[in-house]
Amino acid sequence: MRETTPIHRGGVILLLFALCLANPAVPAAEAVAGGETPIVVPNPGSDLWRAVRQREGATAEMPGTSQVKGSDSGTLIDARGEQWRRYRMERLIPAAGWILGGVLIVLGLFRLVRGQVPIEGGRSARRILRYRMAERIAHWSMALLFLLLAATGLVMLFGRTLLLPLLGGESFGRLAVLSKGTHDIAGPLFFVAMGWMFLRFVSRNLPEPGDLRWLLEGGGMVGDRHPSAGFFNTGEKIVFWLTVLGGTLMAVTGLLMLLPLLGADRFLLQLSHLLHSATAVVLMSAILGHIYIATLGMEGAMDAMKSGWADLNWARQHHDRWVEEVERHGGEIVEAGEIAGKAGQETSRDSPGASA
Amino acid sequence: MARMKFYCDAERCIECNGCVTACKNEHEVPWGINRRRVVTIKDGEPGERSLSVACMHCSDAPCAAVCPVDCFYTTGDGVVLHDKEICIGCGYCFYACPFGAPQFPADGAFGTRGKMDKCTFCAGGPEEDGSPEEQRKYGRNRLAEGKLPLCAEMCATKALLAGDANVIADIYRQRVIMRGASVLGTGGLFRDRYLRMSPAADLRGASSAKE
Ligand code: HEM
Ligand code: SF4
Ligand code: SF4
Repeated sequence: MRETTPIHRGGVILLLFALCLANPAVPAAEAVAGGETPIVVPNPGSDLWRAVRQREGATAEMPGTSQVKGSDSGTLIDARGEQWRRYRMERLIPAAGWILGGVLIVLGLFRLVRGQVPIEGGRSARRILRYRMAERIAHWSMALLFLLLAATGLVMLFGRTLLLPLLGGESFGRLAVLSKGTHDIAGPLFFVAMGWMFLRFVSRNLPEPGDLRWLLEGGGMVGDRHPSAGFFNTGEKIVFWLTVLGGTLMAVTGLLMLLPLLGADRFLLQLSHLLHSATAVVLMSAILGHIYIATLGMEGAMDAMKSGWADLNWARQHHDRWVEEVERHGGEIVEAGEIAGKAGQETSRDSPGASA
Repeated sequence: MARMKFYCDAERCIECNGCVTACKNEHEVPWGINRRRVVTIKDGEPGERSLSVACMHCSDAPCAAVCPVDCFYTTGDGVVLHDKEICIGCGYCFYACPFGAPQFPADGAFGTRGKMDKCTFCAGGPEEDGSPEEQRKYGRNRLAEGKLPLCAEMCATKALLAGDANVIADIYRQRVIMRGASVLGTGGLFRDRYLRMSPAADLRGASSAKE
């Protein structure tokens, strides 16, 4: 330490004090700079790495060579990690919170304002066959895996902020390991289930001329009109394609992150995470809407996915063109009481909507 | 308290990979994991330089910021360590680290990432200092034994330096003054920044390191 006289030191303290009073936000180090030469905290490393980054012919990733083989082992310094950090910590996590929270609030408000869409004229005594067993299994296995992936993904995304302070290190640690393990296994299974669902439902999800009108009429969710629709209405088709295309993107990016064997370098991993997490937020929002309609939003909407049979009045109200088609072809429409005997005896192999 | 830092002198490193080997041997790291590596730029061209890179024990560590389970901690010596009991092997620290320091053993099913492993500045992990448990998971805790990282200790040309940041900086500054060279042989970078400083400030920085 250089000798400092008591007077000298007292002056510095006074000056410091005055500066702090004048502007409490001034950090102490800056305040000292006014009175004395600053203490240099030397870090030759920062000069070296600056020189490395600014050296001639350096590209973004600055590859060199290394005898150590591995992903990006020849890269000295890659500043893109900082961009990815900012994306995840400052954009993704807050935005995902606002978007998912916002969707929940909007759905809640919608329910309060609009109430449940009732079946017009009440429930019918007759049922129409809508989904066969295989179709229901395909839907539900995919749906269950999706919910599992969403829940475990959210633990990774928000756990440190929300759950860690709540549960404490040990319990959260166990939950995190379990979540990560579940996400890893459920991911590939989800892709398989989605592929199966795709094959069973794709023919009924192709766009048709009626879709535009359905969209223009707002799907009947606002106003009292009932737009005409076939087996699937346009809203359902949108959810279908979003799930299939988004799910494929989730699987590709997820597998790239999951399996280092696939050889993705750091940049591709960062990009994969960006696409994976952003798509996750979009899909989760869409599925929240989908779940809302099926449970709270509309009377009778979930029946067919549970038992295979839909209420005939519900079907006429929401899928009029499909019902006409089934009636024309003499499809399966039965009295409600007959279903118990019919369940599980679906004789014909074609789907109820295959011709629609 | 000391703030530990690594520094590699590009004018001295001869790419012998001795540090890499010493590290592997000292900590018996699993196959495929390299806590330290030597990178050569402009290999075979004029201006070729080599640098030995490992975890730089960042002050505002990006790895710690992004870890979804918050398993990093910084020791009183400024060494960035992590807890393998908590790590879930997501790989995010590897995405964020500018130096590519975090390493992953391929020991999950289908070669998924195992628990992260990285340079510990020879300071072990959260377990009791020098315990077999610590040794098995993180390698030897030399700092607890009063020793500095082995990679730097055994570097033949003394290119790789490890220890108190102030001491390291003084050694390096002296070298630069003696040879009048810059960090990467590209001009008077260091002289510009440090030699123009007043002698008083210079002295002060140097002596405070020895306290
Ligand atoms: C389809 C196959 C899928 C695979 C292979 C997959 C794989 C992954 C992987 C490898 C990660 C990085 C963290 C980790 O290693 O666990 C991850 C994170 C994540 N995934 Fe998936 N995933 C899939 C589907 C989904 C789906 C359907 C959702 C949600 C709807 C989802 C939501 C998330 C979220 C929210 C994160 C966390 C992002 C973060 O913490 O920044 N994933 N996924
Ligand atoms: S692992 Fe990377 S980001 Fe973390 S402290 Fe080490 S060098 Fe810094
Ligand atoms: S791999 Fe482990 S240490 Fe790295 S960010 Fe993920 S949980 Fe944290």
